[in-house]
Amino acid sequence: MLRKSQVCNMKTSKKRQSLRWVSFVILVGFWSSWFLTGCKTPPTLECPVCPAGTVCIVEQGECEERPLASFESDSLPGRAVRLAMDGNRVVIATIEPLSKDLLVGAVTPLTREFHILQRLGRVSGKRLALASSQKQVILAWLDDTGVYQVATRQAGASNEHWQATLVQNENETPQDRTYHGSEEFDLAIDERGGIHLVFQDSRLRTLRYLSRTDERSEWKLETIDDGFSQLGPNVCSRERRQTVRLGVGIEPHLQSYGNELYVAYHDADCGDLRLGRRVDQQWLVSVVDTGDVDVETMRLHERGVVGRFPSIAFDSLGRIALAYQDVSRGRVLFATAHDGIFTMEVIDPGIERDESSQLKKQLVGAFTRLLFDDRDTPRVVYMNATNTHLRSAHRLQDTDGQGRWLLRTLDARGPVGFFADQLYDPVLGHVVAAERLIPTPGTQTAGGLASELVLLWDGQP
Amino acid sequence: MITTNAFFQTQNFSRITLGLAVIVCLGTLGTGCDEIRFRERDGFTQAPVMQPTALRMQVSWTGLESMYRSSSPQGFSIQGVPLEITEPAREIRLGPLEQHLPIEHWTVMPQVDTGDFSASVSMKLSRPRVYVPIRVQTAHAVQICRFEVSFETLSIRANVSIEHTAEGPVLGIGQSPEDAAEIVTLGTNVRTLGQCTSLHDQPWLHAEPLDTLLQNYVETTLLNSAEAAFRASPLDTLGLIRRRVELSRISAFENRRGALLVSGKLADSQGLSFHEQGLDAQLDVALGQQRAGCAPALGLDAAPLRPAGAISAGLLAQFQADVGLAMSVPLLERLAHAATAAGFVCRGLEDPRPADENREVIPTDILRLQDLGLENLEIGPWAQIAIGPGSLPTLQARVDKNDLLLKWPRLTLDLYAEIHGVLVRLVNVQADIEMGLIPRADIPGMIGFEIDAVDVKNIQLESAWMAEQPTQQKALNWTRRLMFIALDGQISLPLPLDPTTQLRVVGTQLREDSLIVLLRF
Repeated sequence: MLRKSQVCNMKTSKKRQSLRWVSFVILVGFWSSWFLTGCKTPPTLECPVCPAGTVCIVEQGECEERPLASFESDSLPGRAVRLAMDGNRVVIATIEPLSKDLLVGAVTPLTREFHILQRLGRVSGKRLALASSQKQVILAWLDDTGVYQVATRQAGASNEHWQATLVQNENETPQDRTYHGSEEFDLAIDERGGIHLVFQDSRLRTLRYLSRTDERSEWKLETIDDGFSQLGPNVCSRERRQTVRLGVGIEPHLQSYGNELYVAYHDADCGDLRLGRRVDQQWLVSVVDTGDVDVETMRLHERGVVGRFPSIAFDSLGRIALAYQDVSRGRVLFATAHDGIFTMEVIDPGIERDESSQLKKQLVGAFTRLLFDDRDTPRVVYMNATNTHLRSAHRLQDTDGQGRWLLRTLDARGPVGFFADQLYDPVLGHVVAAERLIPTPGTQTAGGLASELVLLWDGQP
Repeated sequence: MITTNAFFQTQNFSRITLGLAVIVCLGTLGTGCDEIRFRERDGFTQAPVMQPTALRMQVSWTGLESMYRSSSPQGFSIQGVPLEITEPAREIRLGPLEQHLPIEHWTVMPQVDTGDFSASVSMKLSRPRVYVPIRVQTAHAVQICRFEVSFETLSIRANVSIEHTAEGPVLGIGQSPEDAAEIVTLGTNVRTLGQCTSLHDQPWLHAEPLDTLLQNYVETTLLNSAEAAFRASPLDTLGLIRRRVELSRISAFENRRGALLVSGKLADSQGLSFHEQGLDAQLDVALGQQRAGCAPALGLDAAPLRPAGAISAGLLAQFQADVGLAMSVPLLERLAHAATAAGFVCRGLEDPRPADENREVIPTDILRLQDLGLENLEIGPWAQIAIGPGSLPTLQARVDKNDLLLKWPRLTLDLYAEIHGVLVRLVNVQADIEMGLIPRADIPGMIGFEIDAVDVKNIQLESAWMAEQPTQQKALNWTRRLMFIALDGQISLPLPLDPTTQLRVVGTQLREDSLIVLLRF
């Protein structure tokens, strides 16, 4: 990584080589994006494309790490917002959709500071992944070339200083690229500082895995699930998969627990929820839910579609739980494992009684996120897509650990609840973030909508 | 939407239930028959109140011929038990017979006897050849020989009347001697197929010659078999309701699950009768429902039923139709109420499959979202519409316009489209609608309804996505258009017929009291 005071005159350094070929890629394909990163020198001066957190020194044609520019605005955008803890601060990553600025922030109930990490390309910037550990905070996004970038900073460090790099190895060129990223990805850090990134390969439509044990090691690429490796009664047919061809690995959620990794994801071909578990350097994949729970009893004609927006969490005893959307039934489900078998319960059926006693169907469960608080209470945030409200649910504990779910609308002002995320900290409490879209006359906003960050501390703005 | 035929082919249920589909699918705008489950059951928690003669069907004499033809697609099925002939030195056994003979045509003529009509039904066979096995057993051997009994012409005739059985009235050969089946043959010929040494090596000891025995055996078999052929009830083919049936609304959404209970029986007096024009069937119908949560919590209060009137022979002749089916308009309205209460009108968002497989998607570029100021929304290419009833509909026949006037107060439409990969509701609109439904006869196996015009009133249009409210006029035009998009082509009437029959709709006519569907083989 480039150091703050170090001028990047590194013709012999590996970093320099890496930056040069990155420059080539972006110059050829996305010159405008390159221009906006801060190098205002014409391309003929061989100014390299500078990674996020650095700027080009025109006279020397080199990149130098600089403090990030501060983002000043009355309101913050909330596109693709993600949360992570950093000591007593909450780290927020989000995108301003009009300028395509990738923003990173450090927030407490009383303070907030946001900086512009990078201006994203024209195509990329639909999703972000953010993770933190005791030592570092890490953010991932997809660039316009289909390669992931990760930016890191030390835990507790200033928000102005992030170091970015491409998720690829030194000897890779665009011609022999080993993967093709998509906006379906997630990120985790393990206890030893290893970085793990799962994603759906946009060409193969398979779920793949990139990992690096430390910043000096190379990225390792593996395939977690190609959709065909599963056997058993719950697995849908090869013919079905070849007909639909949407692939596996949609909306993956990756969690590190102890020495193990878990990834929950949607199988779009078959409409299933799948779970991958990395044990002994190998991925084991199982089908958690096929959505057929009442197909037989209700004689529904088609197999159900479940498992969108899956979210993994572990309770204090290390028991895994999943929350996800049952697409067919427009509801939110909660799955817990007992003796290796998942049992499901309905968190929110998406049925509401209106003023004339009619039961109205609401499509709920988009952007579902699950966590356990310090009392082992499962908490879920999600979106009601019918009313476009931000919702939450937590389970009231009975003596046997079971209990009914208490549902609550957290925010009902305008279309809100996109990219919902949450975290829980014993000191800060329950923090929820989401995007609100504000209809705006004229075309000065992307999609006729302004993006606003909704940030709630224990239910309060 | 899966067509009725497709559904019927995939669902192995009794023909009796077919008649119910017609009612439910009409009474529930846009309800796909694939979302209905039929089940025979005891049904009502309260005793059903039968509505007299709510459904009426008339089959012309030529229609009866066609129905007989339709009910015997494999021809005339004959079955004969063996006939044993014992001689001192051998045992001879004729038969058994089991064969299908091609039918040239059926003829059904009215028969009047002291003012009561019955039907003279005759079946002409085309140069039938009946193959008779003969088993000859001697002390030392057994030989099976084959003979052919052929006729230049053969016809079987009988008087058919209505019999009342434990299973209800059916058509059958009358009990009096003059009703009995009779056979007329011309040019009978008997010959051996191949060698039959065991029969011809020894003298024939029987009083009657073998050829005569064979001819009598075949003719007796033909007459006995005619009983079953003439008895084959064409009513089942027409799917008349003669039991209590539950039609469950199948849905992934629990608030849409309800049931419609329909009970039908032939009217007590003259439920099934022959008359001058043909066969007339009159049915009493009772309705009930198990309310779905999505339905309006309203008491059902439809107009009292009036019996469906007779269908004139002139109308059948005008359309060259074999069959006429009359459904009283109040019955249709009651069915619409019951079906609405049972959840059949709560529609949309139930197909979660990708767009290219999804039955419910419509392209977003036809929605004219710019009229609502939503042109800049970055939405996906497909939209979906959910329909919900805020009240019960009314139906009224407009004879002068030959259409049905459907009035539906507080009908709700939700328009959904994808934003950020999620199907979100863009617009919610509630309006009182009125529309004229013109029956069409150009859809195989179904009667479609073309929406003539849609009128909307009392619009409440809400959207969290609009920066500014559209003008009243724009909202009205847009809502009318959306209603048209949502409902056009969704209202159809599957025929109450076995899909394997060749009956097709050749016309419809509205009367003040009923909708008449005209059908031809």
